[in-house]
Amino acid sequence: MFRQKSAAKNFSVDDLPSNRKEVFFDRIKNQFSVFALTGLLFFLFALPLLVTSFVFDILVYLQSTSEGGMSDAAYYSYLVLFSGIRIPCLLILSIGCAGIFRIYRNLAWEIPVFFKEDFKEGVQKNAKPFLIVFFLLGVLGLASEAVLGNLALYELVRYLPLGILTGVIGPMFLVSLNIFNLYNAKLFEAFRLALRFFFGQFFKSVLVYILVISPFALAFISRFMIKYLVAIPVIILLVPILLFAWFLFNCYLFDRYMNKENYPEIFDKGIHRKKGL
Amino acid sequence: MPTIECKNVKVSYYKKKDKTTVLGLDHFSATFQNEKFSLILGSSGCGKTTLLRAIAGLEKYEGEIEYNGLDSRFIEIQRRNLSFVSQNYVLYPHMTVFDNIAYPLKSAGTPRDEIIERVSELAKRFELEPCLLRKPRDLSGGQQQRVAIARALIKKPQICLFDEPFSNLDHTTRVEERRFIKKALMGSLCTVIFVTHNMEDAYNLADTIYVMDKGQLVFMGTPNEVYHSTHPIVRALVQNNDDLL
Repeated sequence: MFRQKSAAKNFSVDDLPSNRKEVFFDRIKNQFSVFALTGLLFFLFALPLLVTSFVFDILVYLQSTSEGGMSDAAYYSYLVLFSGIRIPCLLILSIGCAGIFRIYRNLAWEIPVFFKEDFKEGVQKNAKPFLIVFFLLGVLGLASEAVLGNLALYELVRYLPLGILTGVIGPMFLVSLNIFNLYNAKLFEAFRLALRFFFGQFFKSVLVYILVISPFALAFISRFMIKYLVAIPVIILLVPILLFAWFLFNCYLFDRYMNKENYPEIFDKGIHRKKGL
Repeated sequence: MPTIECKNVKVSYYKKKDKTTVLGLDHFSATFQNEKFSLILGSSGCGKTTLLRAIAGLEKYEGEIEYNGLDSRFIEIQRRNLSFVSQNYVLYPHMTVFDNIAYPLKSAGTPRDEIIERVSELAKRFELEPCLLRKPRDLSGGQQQRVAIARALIKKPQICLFDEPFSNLDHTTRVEERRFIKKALMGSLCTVIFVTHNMEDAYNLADTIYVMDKGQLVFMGTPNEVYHSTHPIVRALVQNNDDLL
């Protein structure tokens, strides 16, 4: 007969996580099923994007292995075309993220998760700003790849917009998503705060950011069947954990720069600091 | 809240191996008053759990068990508004404490805000607030039992049945858990039937004690009456407890 395991002593407040790092490991350990569910949802909403990328890879592969091969101009034309097709796919993904980020908020803040209701609430609250951010990301991505495809420019100049998008705009958008998730902020106010917070703790922010965008390294796998086979478990299992880590890191930034004075009710929320610390 | 009346309740088991019939309950008759803490006391194998299971509708029986005059056989089990806490806790190991307590409400389609409010209220009463997002394995045995009791009370049942809920706990934890159950059930307006073989539970919790032996009711009274009773079976129980102490 099943025998319930039990601890040797009462569980008390002292056993609760006392910093964000402990919160991260604690939630992964205790609520992994929630992360897996958000991963599945993320995969579903990312499916149009994945399919678009897959079709792009297939076309490039077929063209490049055909007689005559594929010229650089042809390759970049496809790239720009599919960047445009990706925009509606990003909008679909934004809806999923709007709901999923709400669930991460509740996980971090020790609020019991009601998956369907929290997802729905997240979509209702976050959908509009998330749609705008993802739309901007898609449009800027398209513009960057259009510049990249202009072979008449110097190589450094061609890669510059993509570099700015990846190194400056990307982190700003990622932080702003969590600002929209937690506060009622206006668009440019959120972007301004995001840049200030991200660059305020530059080295830590860059390290965590690189970790969060690391799944994009899969794009460099040349064998596209292996790429997509690896992408599926990465999206379902790893991406939710990375997004949660990003959320917790943003909470640390918000606490440091804003919450203590302006939003004391959410300062250190979800953490139980030991007395005297 | 219902008065539960048992009239000549008989439960028998057929043992295939010996080809004999064993009586779990032998024409048991008693009335359990509404909004009172009724405690059934007796040695192991006297029929306490069998009685509880018959009241819950989990055992076939002869005779009558009535809720406020209505034969319980005409009331579907799911409509009896009763809760059952066994000695094995039966918590879902894959769910958090919050989800375990909230499970009856979630199954009934209760709105989220109401679930959170009621679980938080019970968690405060049972001092389980730090544990809400933990899994049962992180809690001590006493805390797990409190979770089981909280889950039993979340739907505000009319009848609460407890089948030796403290039997897996050590003495110190038992004393602590008695305090919680007394506090939780005070003013809860439900009819409580608590089964135990422990005299301390009887003295500390009960309004009325029903002493059973060999499937029958042999004595009924307040804790004071039980303690001073001259009935041989009751004396034996009291004496055994005094010897242990």
